[in-house]
Amino acid sequence: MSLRRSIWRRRRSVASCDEDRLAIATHWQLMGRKLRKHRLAMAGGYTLLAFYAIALAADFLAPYDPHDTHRDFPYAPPQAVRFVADDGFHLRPFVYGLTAYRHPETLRRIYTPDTRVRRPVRFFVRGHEYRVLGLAPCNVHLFGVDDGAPIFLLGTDKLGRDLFSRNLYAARVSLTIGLVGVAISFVLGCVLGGVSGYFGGVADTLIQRLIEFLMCIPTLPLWMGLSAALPKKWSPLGVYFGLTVILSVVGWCSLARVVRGKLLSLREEDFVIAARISGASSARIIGRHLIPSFLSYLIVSVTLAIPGMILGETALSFLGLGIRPPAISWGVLLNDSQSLRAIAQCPWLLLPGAFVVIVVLAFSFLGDGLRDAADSQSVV
Amino acid sequence: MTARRFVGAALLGAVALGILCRNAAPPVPPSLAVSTGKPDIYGSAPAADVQVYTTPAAFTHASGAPLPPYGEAPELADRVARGELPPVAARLPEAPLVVRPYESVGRYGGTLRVDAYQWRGYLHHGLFRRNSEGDEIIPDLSEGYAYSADYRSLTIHLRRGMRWSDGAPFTVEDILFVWEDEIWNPALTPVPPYSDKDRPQYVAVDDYTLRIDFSRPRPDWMAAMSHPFSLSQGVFFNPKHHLKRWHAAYNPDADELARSEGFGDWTQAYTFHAAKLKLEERPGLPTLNPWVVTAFNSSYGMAERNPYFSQVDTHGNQLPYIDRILALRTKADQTQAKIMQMLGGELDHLPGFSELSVDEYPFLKESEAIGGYRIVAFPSSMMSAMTLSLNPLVPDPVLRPIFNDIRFRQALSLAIDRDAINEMVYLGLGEPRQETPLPLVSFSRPEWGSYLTEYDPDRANALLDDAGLAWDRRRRVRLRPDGRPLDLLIESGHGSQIEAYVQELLAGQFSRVGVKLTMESEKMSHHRLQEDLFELLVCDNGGPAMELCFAGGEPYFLNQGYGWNRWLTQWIEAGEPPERIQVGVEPPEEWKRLALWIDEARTLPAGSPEWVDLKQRIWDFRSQSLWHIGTVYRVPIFDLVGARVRNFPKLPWYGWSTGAHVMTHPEQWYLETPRP
Repeated sequence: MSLRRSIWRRRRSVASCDEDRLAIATHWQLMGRKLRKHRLAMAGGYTLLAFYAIALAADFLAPYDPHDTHRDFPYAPPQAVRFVADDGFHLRPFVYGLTAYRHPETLRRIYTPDTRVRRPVRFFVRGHEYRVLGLAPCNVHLFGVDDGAPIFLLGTDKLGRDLFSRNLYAARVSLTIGLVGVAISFVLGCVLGGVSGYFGGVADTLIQRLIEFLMCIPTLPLWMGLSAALPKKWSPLGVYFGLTVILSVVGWCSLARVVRGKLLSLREEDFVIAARISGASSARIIGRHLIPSFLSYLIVSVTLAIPGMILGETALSFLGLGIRPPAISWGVLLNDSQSLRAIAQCPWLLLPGAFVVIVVLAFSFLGDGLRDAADSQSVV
Repeated sequence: MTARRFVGAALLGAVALGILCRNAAPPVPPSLAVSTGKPDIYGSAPAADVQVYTTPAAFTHASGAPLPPYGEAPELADRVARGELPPVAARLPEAPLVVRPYESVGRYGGTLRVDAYQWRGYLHHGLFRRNSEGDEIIPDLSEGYAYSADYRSLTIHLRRGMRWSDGAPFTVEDILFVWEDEIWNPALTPVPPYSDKDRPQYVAVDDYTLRIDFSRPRPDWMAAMSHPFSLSQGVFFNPKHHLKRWHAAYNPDADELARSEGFGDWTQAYTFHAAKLKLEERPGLPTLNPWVVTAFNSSYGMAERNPYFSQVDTHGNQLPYIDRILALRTKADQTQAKIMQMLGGELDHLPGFSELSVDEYPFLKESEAIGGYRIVAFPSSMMSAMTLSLNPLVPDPVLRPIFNDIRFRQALSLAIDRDAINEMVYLGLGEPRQETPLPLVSFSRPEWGSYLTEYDPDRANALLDDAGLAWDRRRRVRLRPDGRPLDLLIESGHGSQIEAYVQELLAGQFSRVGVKLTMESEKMSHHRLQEDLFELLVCDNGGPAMELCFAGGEPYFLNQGYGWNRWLTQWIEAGEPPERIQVGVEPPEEWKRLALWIDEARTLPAGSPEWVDLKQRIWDFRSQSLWHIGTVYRVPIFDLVGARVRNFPKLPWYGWSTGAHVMTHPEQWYLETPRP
């Protein structure tokens, strides 16, 4: 409240135009202003925007159907897109042809770029069919090469499936499958924690005992048990979605605890008493006065919960407990890299790990910036 | 850290990764740039079994030279000199088995370091074994066998003067002990393996001769029992002198003894000490194997040379050459950890059977020099390296008639692109084949293996159209008669990585004929198999494949269809009329006819014209029923053999039908530079 009071004081004094705008700015405008000054947070935010945009447009950006196998190109390495050939610079990018042969002794497939064959990259080509936003059928893809020749920007996997396409589709699953779970735990945590802290008494006791019980349930065995118990004929994504929802129903406890603690201390503040005397309803007091006072904490908890879900998905799928093939997620892709062979001969199989790191870092930076921005105590 | 620096670091990382990826492929040796035909990973050296001679007389007869006087390991000679052991001639049987070492006569000494998962294979010897082609019975611990002319009576000859590892004589008593006091003791075996009608009589002719009298001609008995693990310790004989103190028939205080050792009653104590099929986990148990287990705990197992082992090499040296075996206990499914141990020089041998999948081959071959080992590859003797099975008794009432329509099964077989599976999963080393007896089996017909193995999605689609399975409106999937999409659950027999890959390939290939697959890559529970609950199953383990497996009697329905099998067993073996059979499910008429053929073939000597005719009728039927759809066969199984291990044989065939790596004769391996 000290900030508001100081703004009030400053508003009454003579101030410059800029200060004037600052003075009449709302809480959200102040937050946005502070956030924009936080460059790391902005970088994180733009990175995330880019990733979610890619996930949304995966169908369009991917040159191949992620399930298409190219039987002549298993474990093909990433192909470079080139502009410069022997005869100089070309405006239209191209890839060299790929020759493959099996080493007669080690039986490893060896790939070499065939510099005699130059395949120009074409844009807006026709390829496998998909539905734009699940509605209109379409078969235009951002890029591709003629005659179904290979263009594997990130290499291929064991069955010769294009990893660039697979990573795009994996981003779609990995980035979104946890959101619903996070939303459920967020709402449950705020509402139950709010009720518990604001009203106290019997409600508080009941909710706290419930929280203590739920916190006792070990999640990994629960996860394993559930993934074994859910019907085998569900689609793998359905199974995983079910699991995240069930886990989020169990996972709201720590958030509820903090919300309760904050409310317990805030509800005795003068401005709450003033609001109550003015006849404001409980819901209005909680929603309008109390929650915004610790919004910064809530934002941090959500921005940390989403990467937590992404990491959780990756870890469980890597172990074979989460999403299972044929569904594609970054964890599923990483599951293929669990052998010495992958590390020694096909390091491109590890790339999804880099994407996970980038996304989680971006979330952390953005969360950090949002926390600073939402903190009403900090100076603009 | 500013945003600019972060972006810079990220770019640097991406570039580094790009360079790493591009450098991963080694340069092409120009001479190898064109690959011609099928790669040969078995090498040019001819493959052969380790040769054995049943007795010194047989060796002399074959080689024309008498066996030199017996030799022994230096440590045993020391113990003889100290008076702790009888001399070697007194420890060996009168006529020991003579093993011709694979490369050269070895030298004594050293510790072989192995992994404990398949440890049993190093130690194990049975009364008989088979050759690699699976068509010949070879005496091992025994001296031989003979059938009476009518095949109603079988005589097994043991080796005169043979001894257990503690020096006690090994006689027919030890066989009768298991037969009478274990198998026909109701406390130890509540349900004996023979019905009273079929129960054979075991007769001790003398200490070293056993006669088995059957109630009807049983030429199949010896064929079935020639598997190295069939007539072996714990199953067929046991050290009576050692175990009788825990048996109530010999020790009236057996219960008290059991309780003093912490067991509930004597049967528990006896079962523990006899250690059936777990001999390698019971230190102190007398044995006939080349090494005796001296320690077994949670981190390692140890086995020391058996001073009474009954086999010698062609120079008369008592086997084994290697002093002791140290088995490290890594968890069974930690293959990558075991490969690391091999690469780090911590193991001398890693058996590939059911452990190393074929897609590990390129990496392991490239790492041969670093790891200090060599790869020895054998062709697998499985009928099909990966088999797709359909459950004839699938619980879903809509699916069952679909599965039982032969056109559906034919369509699935035609919809499999076996070349793609071979190329992508088996490195192009296998050959397309249905799950049928191998070409080297005497009654095999060439048309069985190639029946509907061609890839023909158009014909498959036509067959499915004929079977009344129409496409949906958008032509994405076929519909079942009840209007729901034809979505089948495909499960995994072992939960192996290879099975998961094949599942993914099949899902793609079947989607072209409108059959959708839902995959489950975890190992399917035995319960789902036994109770006929699954729909489709891929399994990287085919059925019995060799001549002797078929001569030993086949199951009516291989590996599945347990409901039908239970019914047929009751009908044929117990002789109950169909209306009184309460177990299982009554199969269609043609399967009853097949069961009668199988039962009849068991009473005919293998190789006789009637037998061949019956077997061909059986497999004419089986190969066209397509309940098991084969993919490819003759894929390699490969072992990693440490550089200092010598005499490791290159076998013509390899598989469980012949006892897996029992066939490599570890007792004649030796270490070039033994470690102390």
